[in-house]
Amino acid sequence: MTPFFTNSTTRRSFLRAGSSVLALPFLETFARAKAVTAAPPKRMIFLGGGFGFTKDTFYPENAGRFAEIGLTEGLSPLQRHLNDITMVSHLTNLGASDPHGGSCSYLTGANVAGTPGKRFHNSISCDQLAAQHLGLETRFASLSLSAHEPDGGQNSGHGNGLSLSWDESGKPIPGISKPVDLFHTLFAGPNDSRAELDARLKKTQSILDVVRLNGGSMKRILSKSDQEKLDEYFTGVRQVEQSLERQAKWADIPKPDAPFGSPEVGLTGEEEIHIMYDMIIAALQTDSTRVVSYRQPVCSVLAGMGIGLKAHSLSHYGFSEPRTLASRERDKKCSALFAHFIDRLKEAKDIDGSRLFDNCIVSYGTNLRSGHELKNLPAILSGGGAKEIRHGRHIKLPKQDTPLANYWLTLMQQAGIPLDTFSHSTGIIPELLG
Amino acid sequence: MDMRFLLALVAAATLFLSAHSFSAEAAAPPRTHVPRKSLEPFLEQYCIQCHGANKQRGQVRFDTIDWTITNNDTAQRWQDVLDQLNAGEMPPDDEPQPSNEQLSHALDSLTGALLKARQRLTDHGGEITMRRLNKREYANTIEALFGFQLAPDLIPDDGEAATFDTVGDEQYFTSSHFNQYLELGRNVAEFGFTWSARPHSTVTANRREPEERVTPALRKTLAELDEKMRMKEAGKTWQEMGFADEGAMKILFSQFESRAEKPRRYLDYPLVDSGIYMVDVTNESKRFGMNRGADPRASYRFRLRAGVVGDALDLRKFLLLSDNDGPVGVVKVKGTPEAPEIVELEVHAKAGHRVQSFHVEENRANIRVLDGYIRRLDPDGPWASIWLDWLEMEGPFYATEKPENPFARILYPSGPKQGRHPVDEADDRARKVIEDFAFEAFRRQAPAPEFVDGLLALFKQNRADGQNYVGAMTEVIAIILASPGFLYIQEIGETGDGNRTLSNRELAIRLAYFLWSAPPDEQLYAADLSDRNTLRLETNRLLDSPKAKAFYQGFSHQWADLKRFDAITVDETDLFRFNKGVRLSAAREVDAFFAELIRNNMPASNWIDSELVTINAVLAEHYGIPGVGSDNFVPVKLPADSPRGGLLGQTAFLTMGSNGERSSPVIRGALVMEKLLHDPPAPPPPNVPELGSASKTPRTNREMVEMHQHQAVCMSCHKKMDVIGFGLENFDTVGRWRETEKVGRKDVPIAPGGTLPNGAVFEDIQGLKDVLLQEQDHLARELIESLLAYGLGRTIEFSDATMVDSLLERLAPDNFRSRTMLHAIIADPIFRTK
Repeated sequence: MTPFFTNSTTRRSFLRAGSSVLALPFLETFARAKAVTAAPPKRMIFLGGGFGFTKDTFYPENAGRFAEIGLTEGLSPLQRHLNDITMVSHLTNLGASDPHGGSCSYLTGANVAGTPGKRFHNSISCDQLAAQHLGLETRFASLSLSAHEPDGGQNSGHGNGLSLSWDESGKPIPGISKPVDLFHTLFAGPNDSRAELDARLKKTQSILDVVRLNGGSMKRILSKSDQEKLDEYFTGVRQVEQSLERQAKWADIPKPDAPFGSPEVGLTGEEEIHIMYDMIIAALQTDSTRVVSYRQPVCSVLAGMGIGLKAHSLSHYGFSEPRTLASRERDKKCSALFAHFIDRLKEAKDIDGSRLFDNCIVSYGTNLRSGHELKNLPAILSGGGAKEIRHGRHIKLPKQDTPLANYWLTLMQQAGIPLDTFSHSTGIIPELLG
Repeated sequence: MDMRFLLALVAAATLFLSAHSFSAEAAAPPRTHVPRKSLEPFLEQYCIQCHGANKQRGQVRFDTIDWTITNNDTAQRWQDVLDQLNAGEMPPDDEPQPSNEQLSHALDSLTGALLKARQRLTDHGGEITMRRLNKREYANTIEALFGFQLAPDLIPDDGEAATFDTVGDEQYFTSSHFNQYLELGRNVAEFGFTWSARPHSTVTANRREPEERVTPALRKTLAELDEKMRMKEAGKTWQEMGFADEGAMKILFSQFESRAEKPRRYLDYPLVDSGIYMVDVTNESKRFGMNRGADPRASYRFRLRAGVVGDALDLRKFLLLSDNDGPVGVVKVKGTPEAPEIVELEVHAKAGHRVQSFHVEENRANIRVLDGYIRRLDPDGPWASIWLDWLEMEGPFYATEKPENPFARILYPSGPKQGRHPVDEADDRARKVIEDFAFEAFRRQAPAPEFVDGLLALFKQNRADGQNYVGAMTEVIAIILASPGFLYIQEIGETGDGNRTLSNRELAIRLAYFLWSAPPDEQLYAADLSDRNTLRLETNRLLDSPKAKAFYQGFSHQWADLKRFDAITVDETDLFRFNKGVRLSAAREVDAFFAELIRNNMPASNWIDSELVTINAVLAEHYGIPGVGSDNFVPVKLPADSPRGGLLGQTAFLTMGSNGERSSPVIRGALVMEKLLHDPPAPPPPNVPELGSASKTPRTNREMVEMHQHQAVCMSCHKKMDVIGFGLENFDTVGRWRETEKVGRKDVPIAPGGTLPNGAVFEDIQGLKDVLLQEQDHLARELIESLLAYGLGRTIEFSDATMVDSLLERLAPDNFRSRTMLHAIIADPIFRTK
């Protein structure tokens, strides 16, 4: 058990020492990279929807090249990217057991109800693991994006959590859920000057130092679970500090100027996804980050399509003919939005003039196939970042219930991350390669 | 399906999971027995051939399997068996298949055992995890400290809690929480300096005459249109008529009738110069409002004078009143335009709103055009149903004579001050101010000296940097409000040496947050709660205070799971008797009913069936019960043959037991099992195929749901919940009584009877209630466990069974009366133990 409370000075000095050793050489690398246009870095993008797709009209039946087997109705908006997408069948998230549990274990693979003495416990998500390797040289180790939907994640099929991302101790990472907030995070603003940041850092640190002193009075005889709670609080406090320190380290390298105006406040649904996609592209182009997870809105997309049903109601589409039709329309809308993202990735130039698309590994999917089926979930892949993956195919894996964790592991390896295992993985997926 | 592969994965997964387990040192492992007697014959007949001593396909063998579940590994192994059976993967298609009955029986016993095992394995052994103030408590705690109410949208949302928002184990804290609380703390401190010590203002009233905004504008619009038409008839060109181009002219004349028709219709009404008719001719005639500056320490009276036009239906006599945060009430209009009457509603102002706003509109279904609504509801009825004479806001009305709050007392010791700047400002008092304020904010726990030192140093630094007193102190207060001493309810114990008995102060805090969702007041802090009689008197005092509304609402809404109700979108085009006012009132009915049970110490069984309902005028109309005329909820005694009493007859419950289009016997039945029978059905199993897709022939709700009964995998869980749901089918999607159901074009009589798995037979809703009343001790257990969970801030586990049993035993002779139940819980040793 780590002590829930450490002397702030010690922790601070450790942080300072630790991060300066780590970060400075990378700053130089970054500066050099800009100058000599080295090979562009690999990026990973994880996009998550909620509550699956229509069984009979979305999923291809036969394996093979899409050019030969064609696209299903639900995938048809991806026609122009026929040779640049891969669909993988027979993947199952072995951790997931609750069809209403949604996206909370999509990137983690954890059985969230499987820890003795805990009703809910998650583990680190693969985007955060990827960020530990790919995020060292960028202003943001990763971006976790989400959507604010009025009735929470439950109705959109996302379940618990604040984004698709979960940290090392299995705590949810709050997603940036408003386009306008992402805009101000990414692009230069009046508060980003060195002096401003230094002042803010100094002020915040003095505040955090005082806050830490409030732990002392409680330190005495807290029970173990109370200590864990307090530890969670102080971890949050430390993260505030770390994020400021990272910002301060980057203060001499100006944030990129916004390529477009600040998004309107209150965008929802399709418009919201479009603007978030545009900003993801800008973040990657400016090398502000190399790892992105995005838990997408579902209900507001439906509302924007004039469908008066919540995502959960729609997932039980067999209930009536109009519902089934609405579900099929929703599928096409999701594919069209994904196709749009691929368009944008193909148009965007990377630092060496190549297509940004060629250096990205993009995954789109969710935990659930259809109805209450957790087996054989939807997994679509695009981007040229995984050099060993030849797109344009529907791959049916020989083994049903191949762990989704194997898929994430394969993708992470393709991004150059030296990991042999992730969550409940049993290996990589050789069928995906070559 | 390759079982070996799956099992290998399961092994890997469990390894992974056990690496993350915390309570490895838990005392005796909880044991759950898989019912061997009923399962073994099944396994022997259908499974053991491939998974036994001779063959172990997929490395699965049932001859050596562990029949006692003591850990997650075994639970997972059995879960896989269940999943395989549920998904229809085993036995393989080319092997002999069990009969529906055999399969259903096997699924039944295994599902039950695993549900129990899961409960036991997640048992935390009664440990209460320190909890953070939830959104409701934060707002009330700030009000207690500063004397003003806070706009709810300023406060960070609680995450999704599976049980109650008071359960610490289910809360998260992230860096973004810290940033939000710190920023919010600054806002609160600034509001404090602006409001907390300011002398009370005198009462004034502002009135608005809506016709001034509506009628002249309409006359002008219509006159312009008519003038254009005259010019056209006189042969003028588009330039002469003042159009931008010819197209604009053509558009106008093509739409002439529709544009002129409504204004003309409106202006034909007789009283357009002394009030407005609430119709959708302009935005303001549809929804009229006003604003004024407001003191967040006070309430204001929203008042209006109006009358009912012609022979409007009762449903059309309601006005929905809203403030900045949404609907606040629904009032029934009486009188006529010739003899209008005044109605009023008191609403509390909130800090964070620039102005206080007050809007009124007809309370009706969300159908865009009013004519469309009338066409569906009352084709021959009047267009306007309500005439509005004026709106008024009067206030401020204060609860106390002069400002009384710890902030004002500490920051302004010599009394209320006009303006923003404390006259008592004195840097040499700063230490005392910080100490005293932190003491109050930490619920009368002295702050550690080093914490005060730190705050004082920060204050001095800020002053040295040129900040004024208020600015520097705002920072200090913000930090106090973002620190764990304020945000977390800490229970350390009486002696501070690991003894888990609460101190008197801690018990007072626990009791106050239980019954008020707010900190204790002076009297409660001072009371000796170790004295049983004092504890009882204080409990009664708290329950009878207006502040107890926080408990009635906070508990009952979460217990009845009303967030499901909030999440249902009702198709108001089709179900046009449902509207915002019904929604608002339906949620309030649940807490008003609960408050009534506590007030009169009525037996818990009232949740199943009751002689009374607590309703306001809107719900009286919705239920067809005469005699209730205002927005206040009042108890009404039901006629003997009324089906309405109890949770089962409440709109919120019935509507959340629907998908917003049709009633759902499945959801209603599952809710009854969970809330009234303390027998929650297993969560929907993964990978069970959906029932057949939509059929072309229209079916009754019952016929569709009965398809469950034909498949073993569905039947094992649905045989109980669906049947209970059938008993409620006389209530439509939004809770109104119906004798028939529309199927295609026919009206088919509802068939509400059924036979439960235990053999109990019922014919209708009353019969169903009688069956449920047989098991009211289950309801009592559910209520006791839920009240305990809410009050203690932890879930009630298997290991609490003895404590709950003994409470039940003591309460049974008195029919589980509601207030007695609360007293018993609060007097129980568990309530004074950490």
